[in-house]
Amino acid sequence: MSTKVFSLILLPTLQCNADCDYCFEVKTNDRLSLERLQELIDKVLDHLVEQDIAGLMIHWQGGEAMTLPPSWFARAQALIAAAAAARGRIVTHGLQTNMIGYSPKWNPVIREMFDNSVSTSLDYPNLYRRRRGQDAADYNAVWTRNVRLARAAGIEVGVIAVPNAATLELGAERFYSHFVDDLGIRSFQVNTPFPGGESNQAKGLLPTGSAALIGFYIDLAEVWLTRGERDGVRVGPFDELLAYFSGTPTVLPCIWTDDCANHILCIDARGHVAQCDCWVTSYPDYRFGNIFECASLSELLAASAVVERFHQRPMALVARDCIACDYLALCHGGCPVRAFSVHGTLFEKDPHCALYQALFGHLASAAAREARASAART
Amino acid sequence: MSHQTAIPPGDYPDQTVFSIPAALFQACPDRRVILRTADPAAARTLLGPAVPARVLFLQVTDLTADLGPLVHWGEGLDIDLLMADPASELPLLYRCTGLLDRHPVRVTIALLPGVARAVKLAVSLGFAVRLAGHQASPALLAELREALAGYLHNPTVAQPVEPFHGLLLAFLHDTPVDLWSLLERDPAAVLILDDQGQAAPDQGPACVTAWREGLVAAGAECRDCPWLAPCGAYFKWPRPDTDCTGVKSLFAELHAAAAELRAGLAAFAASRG
Repeated sequence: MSTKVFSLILLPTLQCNADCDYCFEVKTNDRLSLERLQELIDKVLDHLVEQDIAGLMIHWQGGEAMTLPPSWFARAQALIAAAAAARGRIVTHGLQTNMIGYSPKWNPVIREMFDNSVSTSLDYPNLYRRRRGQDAADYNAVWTRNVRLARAAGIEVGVIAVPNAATLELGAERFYSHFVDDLGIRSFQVNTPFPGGESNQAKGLLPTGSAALIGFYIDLAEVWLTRGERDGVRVGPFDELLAYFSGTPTVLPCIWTDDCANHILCIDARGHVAQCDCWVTSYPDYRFGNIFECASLSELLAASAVVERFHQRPMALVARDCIACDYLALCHGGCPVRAFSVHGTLFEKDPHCALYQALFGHLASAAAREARASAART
Repeated sequence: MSHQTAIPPGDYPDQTVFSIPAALFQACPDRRVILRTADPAAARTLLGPAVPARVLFLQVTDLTADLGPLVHWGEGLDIDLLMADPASELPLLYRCTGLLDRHPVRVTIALLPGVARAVKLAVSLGFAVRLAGHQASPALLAELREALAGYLHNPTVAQPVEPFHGLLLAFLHDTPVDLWSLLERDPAAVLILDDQGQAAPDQGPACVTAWREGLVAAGAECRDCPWLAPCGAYFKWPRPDTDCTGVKSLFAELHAAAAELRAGLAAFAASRG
C-alpha cells in the first residue's frame, strides 16, 4: 500500500458567524447531517482503497466549523474511525476555525479529535474580519479572549494571517511582534492574498503582485530568521522553505505542488466536490461533481472534465515560461485559484510569481548561509 | 501469451542482460531482462501479479500510454520512461508522477533538441534521468551545458542525472568509470534485441573495448584525450571524425566540480580535527 496521505478539505457547514469583507466563499445555511457524512466518508475511503492510499487527512473548515456543536464532531469522529478501521485506513483530523464560537465545551473534542490543536485566522491590522453587524475591534476582542482561553486550556493555536495594505505600511517587524510578543503565538502562517469569489471593494484593495508585498515578505523572513528560528517560533512558509533548502524533509504549502489535483480534494456540506474551498463554494462551473449523486468518488473524478483541466494547467504553464524558472521543482506555476481569481483563467501563473521567486531565493541563500555557519561551528 | 521459440543465448555471457520487447519475455526464460513496452496494461497481464525477479526493469516506450495499470502493481519494480522527442513530449511527464509513489522511476531522454528543458522538468518532478545518445550538435552541446549547470548548482535538484552523476562520483572518489556502462550501452552488459530477437544494429559497437582501442591505434583525437578512460570513445560513435571539443569541456567542468567538492569535504573534515 502507498504511504501517501490524501488531503480532504471538508466543509461540514457553509454557515458562518462572521461576515468578513474579503471572504472568498459564498455562504449558505447548508449543514452536513451525520447520515450524509457516513455516505460521504464511505465513498472517500472506498476511493482510498481503490487507489491503494493508506492515509487520509481531513481538514475541517467551513463556513465556520464551530457553528456545529462539539457533540456533532464527537459523533463524526467515531463514525469516521469505524469506517476507516473497516477498510484498514488511517484518518487524522485538523481544524480550521475563526475561534469566534469557541468555548471550553470544545476542549474535549479538540483534545481527542484534533490532537489538542487548532488553526485559526487573524490579520494585523484587522481591516476585514468582523462579526455580522459588528466592527473589526469587536472581532479582535472576541478572538483574542477566546484564543487566550484556549491556550490556557493547553490547546496549541496556530494562526493564518493575510497581509493587507495596512500590514505593508506597518512593516514586518511590527507584524511579527504583534503575533509573537503581544499575542504569544508560536506558530503562524502568512498566506498571500487573492480576490476569490464575488468581487467587492475590499478584494480590489488586496495587494497582489506588488513590490511592497514582496518587500514585506522578505523583511518578515529576515525578522523570523533573526529572531524566530532561534526561539523555536514557526512562521510559514519560511520555516518550510528553509527546511526544504536545507535538505530536511518538509511539507510545503498546497500552493506549491506539481499538480494539486493529485493530492487534495474539497467536499462541501451539499456534497459538491471541487479542488479546494474557494472553488467549491464560489465557482460552480469548476466543481467536479457531487458525491451524493455518484456511485463512487473514483468514477466521479475519472469522468470529470474539470479535473482534467486542472491536470492540464501545469502542463500548459511549463510549456511557457515556468520551465525557465530555477524553482520549477517547488512551484509548477503556483496556486490555480489565485491565478483564476486574478486572471479569470486556470491557464495563467499564480499572480504572486515574483514574490515566490524572491522568497525562494532568499530562503535558499539563508539555508546555504546556515550550512556554512554550521560547518564553521563544528 | 503464445508459445515462442527460445532465443539462442549465442555467444553472450550469462551475465549479459537482454533488453527485449515484452512480447519476447518467454523466449528468454533463463536470462535477466529489461522489458520494453508501449502498452503497460499488456505488460502487466504478461507478467502477472508478482513480477519475476529476472525482470530488472520495465521500459515504457510511449509516454502517451495509459500508465494507470502500473501504478498499483509491481511495487518497487524499476520503471524507465523513454522520452524519444523531448521537445514535444515534455509536458507528458506530469502524467507520469503517479508512478513515483510505488516505483523507482527514471526518464531516459534522447539527446535531441529540448533535452535541457526535459531534464529540468524531469528532476523537478522527482524523476532520475539518463541521457541517451552519442554525438551532439553545437546547439545540443549548449543544452547539455545547461543541463549540467542545473544538475551541479540548482539547489532544488535532488535526483541523479546520468552520466553527470556517475562521472561526478567517480571523479570525486577517484574510482574507474566509463560512459558505456554508465549509460547502459555496452552490449556485453546490456544487449538490445529487436522485435525479431536479433541484436539491434543501431545500439553501438559490438565491442566497446575494440572500438576504443581501434581509435587510439588509428591516432584519433582519443589518443591524447585526458578523458579517454571515463569516456571510452563513447562520443566518437558513430562518426569517429566528430570533434570532441565540446564534450571535453563537460568532462572538465565535472572534474572541476568534483575537485571543489573534495576540497570542501576535506576542509570540513579538517575543521573537525
